[in-house]
Amino acid sequence: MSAELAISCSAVVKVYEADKGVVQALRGIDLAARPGTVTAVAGPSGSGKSTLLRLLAAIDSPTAGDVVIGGLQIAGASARVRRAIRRRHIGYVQQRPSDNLFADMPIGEQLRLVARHKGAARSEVDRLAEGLDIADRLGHDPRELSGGEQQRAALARAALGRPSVIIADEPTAELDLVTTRAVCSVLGSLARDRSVAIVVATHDVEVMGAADHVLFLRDGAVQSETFEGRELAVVDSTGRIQLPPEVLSWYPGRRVALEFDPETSTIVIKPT
Amino acid sequence: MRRLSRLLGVRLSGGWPGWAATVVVFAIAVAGVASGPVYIEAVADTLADDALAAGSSVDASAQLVSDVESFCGGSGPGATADDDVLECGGFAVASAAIGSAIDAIPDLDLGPITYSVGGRRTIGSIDGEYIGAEVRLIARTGGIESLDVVAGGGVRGAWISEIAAGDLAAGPGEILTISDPEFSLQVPIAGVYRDFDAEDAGPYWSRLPAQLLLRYQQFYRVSEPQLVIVAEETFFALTTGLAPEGSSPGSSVSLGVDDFAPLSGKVWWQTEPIGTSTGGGLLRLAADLRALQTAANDPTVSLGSLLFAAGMPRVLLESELIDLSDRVSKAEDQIAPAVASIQVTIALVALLVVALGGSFVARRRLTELRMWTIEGRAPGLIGWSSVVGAVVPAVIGTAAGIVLTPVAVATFGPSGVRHDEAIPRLVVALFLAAGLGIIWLTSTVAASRSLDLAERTRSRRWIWDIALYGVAITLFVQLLVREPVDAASGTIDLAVIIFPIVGVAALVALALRLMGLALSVLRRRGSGLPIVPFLAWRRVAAAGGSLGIVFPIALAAGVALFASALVASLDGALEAKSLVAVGSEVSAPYPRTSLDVELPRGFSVVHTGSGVTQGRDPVRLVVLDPDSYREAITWKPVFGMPLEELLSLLDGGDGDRVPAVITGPGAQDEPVEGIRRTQKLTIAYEVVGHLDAIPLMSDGLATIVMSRDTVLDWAVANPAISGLALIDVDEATGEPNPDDLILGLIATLISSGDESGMNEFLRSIQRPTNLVEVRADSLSTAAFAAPWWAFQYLRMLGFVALLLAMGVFAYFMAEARQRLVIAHALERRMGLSRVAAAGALGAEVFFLIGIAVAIGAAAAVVLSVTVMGEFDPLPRLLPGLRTLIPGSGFIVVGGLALAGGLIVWALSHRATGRSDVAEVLRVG
Repeated sequence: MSAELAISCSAVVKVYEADKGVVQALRGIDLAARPGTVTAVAGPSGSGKSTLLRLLAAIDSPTAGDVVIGGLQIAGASARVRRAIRRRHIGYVQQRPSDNLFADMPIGEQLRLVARHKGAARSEVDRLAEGLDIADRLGHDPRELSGGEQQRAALARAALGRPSVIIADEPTAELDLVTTRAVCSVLGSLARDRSVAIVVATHDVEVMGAADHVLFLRDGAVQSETFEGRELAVVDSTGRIQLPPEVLSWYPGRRVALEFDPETSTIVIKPT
Repeated sequence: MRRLSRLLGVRLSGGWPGWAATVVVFAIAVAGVASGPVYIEAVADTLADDALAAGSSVDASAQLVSDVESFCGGSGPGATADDDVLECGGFAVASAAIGSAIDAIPDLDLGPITYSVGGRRTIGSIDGEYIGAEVRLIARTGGIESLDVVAGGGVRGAWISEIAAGDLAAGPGEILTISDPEFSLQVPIAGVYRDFDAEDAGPYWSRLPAQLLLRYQQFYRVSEPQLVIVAEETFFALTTGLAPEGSSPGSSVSLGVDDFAPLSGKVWWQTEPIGTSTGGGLLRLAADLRALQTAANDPTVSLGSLLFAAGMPRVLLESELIDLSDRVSKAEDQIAPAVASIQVTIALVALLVVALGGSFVARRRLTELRMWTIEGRAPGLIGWSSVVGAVVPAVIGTAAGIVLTPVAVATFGPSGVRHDEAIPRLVVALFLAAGLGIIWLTSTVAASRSLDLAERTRSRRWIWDIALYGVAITLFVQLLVREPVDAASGTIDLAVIIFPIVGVAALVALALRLMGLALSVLRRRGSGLPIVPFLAWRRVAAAGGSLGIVFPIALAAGVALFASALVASLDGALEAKSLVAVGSEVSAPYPRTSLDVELPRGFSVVHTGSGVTQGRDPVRLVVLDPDSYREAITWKPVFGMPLEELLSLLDGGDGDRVPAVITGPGAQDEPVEGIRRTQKLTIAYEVVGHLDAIPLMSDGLATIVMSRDTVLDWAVANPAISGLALIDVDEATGEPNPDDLILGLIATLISSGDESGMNEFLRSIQRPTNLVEVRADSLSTAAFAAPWWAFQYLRMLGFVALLLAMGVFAYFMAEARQRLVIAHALERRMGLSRVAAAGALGAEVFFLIGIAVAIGAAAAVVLSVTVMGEFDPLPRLLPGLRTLIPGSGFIVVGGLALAGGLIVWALSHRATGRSDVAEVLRVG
C-alpha cells in the first residue's frame, strides 16, 4: 500500500532554535496521501501547519522521523538532493497570489519558462490553462487578473512537469467565497485528472469540505482526522488516543472504562 | 526588455529603473576607479604647463650627445679597410640614422648638428708661436652663416673670436695651428667673429651645447676654450685627414699618402619641438627622446648597432626638457601611491555600493527568488540569471564610464587636457568582472536564504558599524600619535589619505544610527504640523530603512566637503610655506661685494645666519632692512602679525638691547633677553613679540628677527659689547663699514616682482642668474605639489561619488514607486490637491537629501576642525596648516544635491501623477 503513496511522513518531529529558545513545532506527525486525493491540514495559527508543509515540500528536513516523497527519503538528504526532489516531485502554491507569479511577465510566458525549467512540454501549458480556465488570460500580466484567476494560474504553474505532490499553503485565504469554491473545484479536478496528491494547509471550511482527508493540528500534534467524511481519532505509536474536545465533557473524571471486542476490533469507552 | 528577457531566457527584473540604476552605478563607479592614471597624467601636464608658464625658461630643445671615437666611423657600414684605402662613411651613416630617428618622432625636428674636437689642452698658435690661446675646433650646421662677422669672410678656413684674435694677434689669411698632445692641424683663418654674449647669445648660438659656451660657475666666470668655427666640410676634412678642404666625409683617400689618424671628439644632435607647446606635449616628446636614447644605446637594435659600429657606444640626452620631465615624474611618483590608495578605496566603496544595490534588488526580488528556490533551482543558477540580467546594463555603464572618466577629470580635475589613452582598461575589466561577481554573490546568498524562516537579527548589522568605528578610531589615533611624514621626504602618509573617507563614513554612520533611534522616538510626534509636512514627516519617520539611502549621499557630500576644506587649507599653507622657503616671490644669493649697490624699488636684502651662545641651542638670525622689506615681501596673515606691526616692533626698544621678534620651533624656550654671537658681531636682544612664521626662517631652529638699522645703531652705540672695536675701519672715512658688521651672515636678495625683473637686475650688476629661486616654481616641485594634487583628487572623487549617490537615490525612489503611488492615491482620496500631494512628495525627497547633506557637512566640519592640523604635508616648514572651510565647496555640493533632488522629485512626481487613483486603490 505504501508504494501507492505519493507522499507520507511518520513520527515527524521538528525543533527550531529561535531567539526565545527552543521551539518544538511538530511532535510526531503521521500523514499519508495517495495520488488523486486532496489532503487538508487545518488548525489554528501556530499549530505547525506551515512547518509541516515545508517538510512535505522538502524545503526543510525533519529533526526526527521521516518524510518520503516519491519513494525518496527527506531525512538526512542533502540540500542538493532536496532541490532535485522539489524540482521533480513538488509543486508549490503560496498563500498570496502575488507570491506565486512574476509581477511583470505575462502568465503564458512565465508558465512556459517554468515548463522549460521542469522539462515539461509547451503543450502541457496549453492543456493546463485550458483545464484551469485561464487560456484566454495567458497574454495578461498578473495584475490584470482577478485573485481567483491568479491562484488558478499559480496552480497551473505548480502542476507543470507532472509533480507527484502539489503543496498549497492556504491558497484561498485572500479569496471570496465564490472564488474559494471555484479554486476547491479546481483542486479536486486537478488531483483526479493528473493523479497528483494535493496537500493544502487551510483555515477554510470550504476547502476542508472538499478534501478527501483532513488533519487537525494543535500544538504540533494531530488532534483529529477525518477521512472521506468520517471523523477519526488518532492512535499514536504508544497506543494513546486523542479524543475531540467536544466529547471530553462526557468524561468529567478523566477516567474511563474500556471494553474490547476482539472479534470486531472494537473498543468501547465508557464513563466511570 | 521583455524580448531581451525571452532571448536570454532569464529574468531581467527591476524594469527601466533597475537598468538605469545599473548603468549609472557602473558608469560613475568606473569613472572613479579608472580616473587615477588619467588624473596623474593630467597633473603631469599641468605641472609641466605651470613650469613653462612660470617663465623658468625651460628650453624645450634637447641634445643627443655622444663621444666620437673617430669621425671616420670606425668599422661601421660604409667603412672598409684594405691595404690602401679607408672608406670613411661609418660616422656619416650612423649620424644620418640618428637624424632620421629624430625626424620620425612626431612634433620633433632635427636641428643643427654640432661637432667638436679638442679641449682644455688644445692650443691655437700662429706661425709656431707657442704663446697662444686655448681653443676648441667646432662645426655646426649653418654655423658660418650665423656668425656676427668682425673681419674676413668665406667658408674656407677657420673663424676665430675677437678674444682669440686678440690673444693670438692674428687675423684673416694667417695660418692657425691647432695643436694638442694627440694631434696637430693647420688651417687658414677665414675671419673673425664677434664673441657671444653668454647670457644672450641669440636664438641660434644660445642653443650651442652648454659645455662649449662660456659659463658662470657660482659667482665666478670660468672661460671655456675659445671656439674655432669651421664649416662642416672643413671640419671633416681636418678631422679625418681624408680629403682636401671642400670635400665631404665619406670620400676616400689613399692611406699611403698620409698617415694621419682620424680624430676623436664629440657630436651633438640638437632636436627642436615643432607644433607643440603644451606641457603634456613636451612631456611626451621627452618620453620619445628617452626611447630614442634607449634604442641608440641598444646594440641589438639597428640604430644602436649602427652607432656601436661607428664608435659611438653611448649616447646621452641633455635637455632642460628632461629635467622638467624628471621633476614631473618625481611628483607623479609621489602622487601615484596616494592616488592608488584613494582609487582602491573608491573601488572598494563602489563594489560595496554594487553589493548594497545587488542586495537591495535581491530583497525586491525575494518572492521571485523564493519561487525559483522552491521549484528546485540551485542558488548559484539563480545568481547567474541575475548576472545575465545585469550584464547588458553593466557593460553599457562601463562603456559610459570609460567615456566619462576623462570628462570627469577634465571637469573636476587639474586641467582641460584629456588623456583617454591613460584609462587602465585591465583595471576597468577587472572591476566589471568583480561587480558582476558581486551581483552573482548577493543573488546567490539571497536565494539560499530566501526560504529561511527567521529574519537576520538587527544586532548583526551593528557588527559592520562597530568595525567601521574601530577602523576610524584606529586611524584617528594613528594620526595623532604618528611621527609626521614630511612630503619633502618623497612619500605621502597613506593614513592621511584614507582617513578622510573612513572618518567621514564613521561619523555619518554614527549620525544616521542616532537619527534612526531619534526617529523611532519622534515617530509619534509631529501631529501639530500642517498636513503636507506632516505627511512627509510621517513617511520619513516611518521608513527607517530610508535612512540607509541617506548614507551614500552623506558620505559623498562629507568627503567632497572635507577634501575641499583640505585643499583650500593646503592652498593657503603651501603658498605661505613656499614664501618661507624662498624668501619672497623671487630670491637669489647676493654677493657681499654688491652690498653698496643701490637696490631698485621692490628689492631688499635680508641677512640670515646662525646666532650662537654658550650653553644654548643655536638660533637662526633673520636681519631685515625695514625700509625696503615692506615692498619686497609678499606678507601673509598666517605669519601671525601684520607686517607694519612687525616693523614697528623691530623699530622700537630702549636702546639697551636690540628689539627682536621670535618664531619657529623652540621659540617658546628662548629667554626674553639674550645674547647671540655671529662671526663678526655680538648682539644683545630683547624679545618683543612672537610670530608664527617668517620667510627665510629655519625649519628646525628658533628664528630671531631683527631690524638691520637697529642692529647697526645698537652696535655703534655699544662697541664694547658688540665687538665693533674689532671691525676694520673704512680707509676713506675712518668709520667701520656698517655692512661689514653683518658679514658673518648670508645675504639674500628678495623681490616681490617676477623672475625677469630679478634677472635683469642681476645682469645689470654682472651677477649670474642661474641661482634665482622663484616661489611659483617651488609650488610645482614634488614636495609641494604631490600632497595638494592628492587631496584635489580626493575632492574630485567626492563630487563624482555624490553624483553616484544621487543616482542610487533616484533608483531607490524609482523602486519605491508603488509605495509612492499608493500614498499619492490615498492623499488624493483624502481630498488633497495635486499640488499639495506633490508638495508632500517633494518634502520627503528634499528632507532625505537635506538630512544627507547636513550630516555629511557636519561630519566634514567636525573633522576639519579637529584633525586638519594633522594633515600638514610639510610639518617642519612653518606656518602650519590652518583650517579653511571654503564656501565654494558647500555651493557645489548643495547645487549638485539640489539638482539631483529636483530630478528625483520630477521623476517620482511624474510616476505618481500618471497613476489612476481609483485603480490604485482597487488593486494596490
